[in-house]
Amino acid sequence: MLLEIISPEETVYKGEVVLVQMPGTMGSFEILHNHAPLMATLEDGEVKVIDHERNKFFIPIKGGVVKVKDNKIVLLTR
Amino acid sequence: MLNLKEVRTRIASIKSTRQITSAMKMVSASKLRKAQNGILSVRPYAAHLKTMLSGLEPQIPTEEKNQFTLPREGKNILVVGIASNKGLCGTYNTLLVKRTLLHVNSLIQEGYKVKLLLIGKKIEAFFQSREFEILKTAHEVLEGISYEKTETLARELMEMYASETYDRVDVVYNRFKNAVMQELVIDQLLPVSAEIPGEEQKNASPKAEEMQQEFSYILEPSPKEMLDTLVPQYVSLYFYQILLDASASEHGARMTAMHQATDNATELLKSLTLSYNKVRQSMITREIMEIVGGAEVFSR
Repeated sequence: MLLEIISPEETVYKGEVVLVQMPGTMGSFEILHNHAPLMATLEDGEVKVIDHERNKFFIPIKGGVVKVKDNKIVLLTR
Repeated sequence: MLNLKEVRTRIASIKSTRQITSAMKMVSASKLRKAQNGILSVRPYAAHLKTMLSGLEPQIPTEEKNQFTLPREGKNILVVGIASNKGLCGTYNTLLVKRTLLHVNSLIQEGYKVKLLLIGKKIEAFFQSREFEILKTAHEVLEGISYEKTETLARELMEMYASETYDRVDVVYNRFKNAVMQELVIDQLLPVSAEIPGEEQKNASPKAEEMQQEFSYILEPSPKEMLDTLVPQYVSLYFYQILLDASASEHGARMTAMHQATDNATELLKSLTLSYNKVRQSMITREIMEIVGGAEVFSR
């Protein structure tokens, strides 16, 4: 899957990932390959990302919204 | 006849002025580049947010629409004028102030109550001494434009709109075209029009239809709540883009003005040097004549 984390000032992250976990308004959730189309609002918190090399890392976000479709994740944050 | 010493000092002072203007031109050029980068880097964010909104918008019945998108009848209008904090940028501020004044006056004539939010010391200096109601000034947002500062101000505007203090918010600013061209425009910030402004206007509508047909997203939380989060974000973003445009225009205008000033100084320097040399030459000629004349007297 392709993950893009974009803020108005810059592209925070762009890359191929295996798993993304994020702090949704209605609770934390994870996204794996072939997830159904989804739009969700997010709270302040951290996004957990695991890439193909099994590296796990966290990216802090300040609220936002995410759109998942056709294995493309676009996360808009502040 | 010109006084030689006077001309010399003038040449020196014009030279140093030229140095300053050309340095200011360089500074503006680099600031302009920075502002342009800002405009470019906000584009992907803006594009994504727009597609999300245009996909979501038709899913929601009119009575549940976000308050910031619904126009309402009301006589209170807030006009935001964005000029610059510093001068020396040609007609940039003058034109903007004139346009704002024109807009405000025509609104008052139509029976609206107008208050002003002024961004930029130059526009404040103009309206201060006139009988218009200034709600507040916010010069600091122009100093190193950041999304955070812009958002704070945008949220304030939205709160005032939500509490029905104002029924419309207009923004007068310069839209950036290129380094030498700015377009003076008046945009409605609130209520934000569903028809999304910007360069993608032409292909925005078929895209929206497309989205509507294949709109099959799982939404979390409900569409309405979703819209309530997205719309304020969109308003902030819109305001941020406006400020970036204004700042790029300002630096563009200053760069052009300083370029012209430098050119003028060079021109002036040329003609001054020429007349200086002429005077100097005629003085030398005169001195030689005097010496020759004196020598002739002695030789007799």
